[in-house]
Amino acid sequence: MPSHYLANNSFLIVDAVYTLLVTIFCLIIYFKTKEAYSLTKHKGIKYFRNSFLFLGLAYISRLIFQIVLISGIFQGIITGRALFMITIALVGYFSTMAILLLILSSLWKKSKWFIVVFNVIAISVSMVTILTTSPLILVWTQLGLFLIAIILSLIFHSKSKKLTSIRIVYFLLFVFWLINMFFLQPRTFMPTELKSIIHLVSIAVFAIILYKVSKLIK
Amino acid sequence: MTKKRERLEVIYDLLKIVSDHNNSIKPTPLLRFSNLSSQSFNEYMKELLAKDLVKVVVDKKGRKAITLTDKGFKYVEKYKTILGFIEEFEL
Repeated sequence: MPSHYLANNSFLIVDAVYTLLVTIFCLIIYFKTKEAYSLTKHKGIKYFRNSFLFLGLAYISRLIFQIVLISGIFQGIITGRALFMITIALVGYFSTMAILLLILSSLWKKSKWFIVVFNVIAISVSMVTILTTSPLILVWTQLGLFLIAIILSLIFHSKSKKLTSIRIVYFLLFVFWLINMFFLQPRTFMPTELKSIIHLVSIAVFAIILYKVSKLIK
Repeated sequence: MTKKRERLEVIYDLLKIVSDHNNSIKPTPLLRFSNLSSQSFNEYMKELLAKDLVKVVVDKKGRKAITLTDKGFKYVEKYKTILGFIEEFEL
């Protein structure tokens, strides 16, 4: 890897390290909950852990994109635009599924059809993102899904309107995911310091979830 | 009126009864201790056998007894932590 390339892309490397860390957190959460699921076959646990698997896959797709950009290994083979489109399609599908599965993990008792509907939504979101070639569409769609999730949560959990710690963590997780998606938009300018702070807070949110999972499932 | 038991709780109760009876109990007393209807009991037993949480042992006289498998013991051991996890994450 040429050193001058690395020097010019120092933030890209920091971004890749951040993505790698979050991916590892997601996968640890997925594997830590394996036994709890295999013992109980509880659907809520299944959707919860699959949500983090999909989130991990979304971050892995993002990481591969960053590695390819940093190393330039596909230069001359695939155009930057084509690579970007493949990444955004994968990130779009995996992240939308992750969000929907997280919603499903607490609403699974309400309907058997949610999973089919959610897959259709995730594929549609991914297709629309490719056709419009704009990750911003993804951000807006996912923001819409988030609002729907809040409404559904208020309808189905009307008895427990308490703002529990996990709801706050989920809220932060989603907000930082959207900010991350915003970074994927080409020509998005944001000061490096601000990006670094967002990355650190984002890592902290994942660390809190991992800590909660580890504390409860030893 | 008492609250209807959740599925995981019923499974835990059934396994705990077996465990508390030196890991061997006949189906009839298990049904009695479980406070389930015969139909529910049979459904749960099918589920426990399918999930490999219990097994049926037949002695020389042809009498059936239910015992826990290793997975069944693990379920009893981990039930409270798993329940805590489900409640914390509102699953």
